[in-house]
Amino acid sequence: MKLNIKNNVNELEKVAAFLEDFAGIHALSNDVLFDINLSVDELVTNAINYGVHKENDDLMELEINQDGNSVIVVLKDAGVPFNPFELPEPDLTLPVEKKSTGGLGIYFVKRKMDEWNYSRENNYNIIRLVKRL
Amino acid sequence: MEIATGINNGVYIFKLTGRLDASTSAEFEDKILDVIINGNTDILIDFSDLEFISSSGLRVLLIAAKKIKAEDGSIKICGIKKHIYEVFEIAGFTPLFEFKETCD
Repeated sequence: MKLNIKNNVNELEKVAAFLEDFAGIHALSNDVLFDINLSVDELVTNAINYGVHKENDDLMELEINQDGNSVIVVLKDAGVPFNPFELPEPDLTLPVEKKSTGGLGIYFVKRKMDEWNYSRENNYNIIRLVKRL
Repeated sequence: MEIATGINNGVYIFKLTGRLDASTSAEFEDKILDVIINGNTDILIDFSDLEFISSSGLRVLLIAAKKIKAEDGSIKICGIKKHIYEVFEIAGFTPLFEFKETCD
C-alpha cells in the first residue's frame, strides 16, 4: 500500500489512519501497529521540521507491505541528501534541567524496528524499516 | 486531540484524548505553560484516553516539567496506557513525573 505525504503536520493523522488500515487488513497486533506508527510519525515529523520544502508540497512517499513474517516500510523523499541515522544518540541519563528531546525520534525508530537503513538512489533519500512479526 | 480541563482540590487537571504529536502538541504547550505561569504548581494529566505520543509530545511535557520544577511544583500522570509508558521508559522520562494507575 502506498501513501503520498504532503509537507504539513496535519498529514500525520492521515498517516496514522493509513497504517491502521494496513494493520487491520493484515491482522497486525496493536503492539506492532504502535511501533510502526511511532517510527513513521517520527521520520515524517523530522522531514517536515528539517526539510526545505514549501508547505503542502509533496514531501514523502510511504510504502508498506507484508513479506512473510515481516512488515517492510519504505519512506522515499526527493530532498537534499540526509541520513537521519547518522545523528548522534541522545544522552538519556541527563537530569531534567539538561534534558532535551533532540534525536529522540530516531532513537525510537532504532529501538522499535528490527532493521533500519538509509540509502540514496536516483536523487531520493530512501529509508527502509523492517518489523518482524 | 481534545484537551479538557478542570480543578479539583487545588489540583489543575488536564484530560487528553487522542494523539499528542507534532500537529497537536503546540496547543497543549500553550495551555499547560499558561496554567503554570498562573501559579498552579500541582498538575494532574489524565492519560487514560491518550492513544499515541511522539517525541513532539514528550518535548512539551519536558518543557512543562522544567518550568514546574523551577516553581517547586510537580506533574502527575494518571491512567497511562502500556504503549505510552514504554515510550517514556525508552526516552528516560519516567523519573520526571509521578505516575498514578487510576485517575480518581
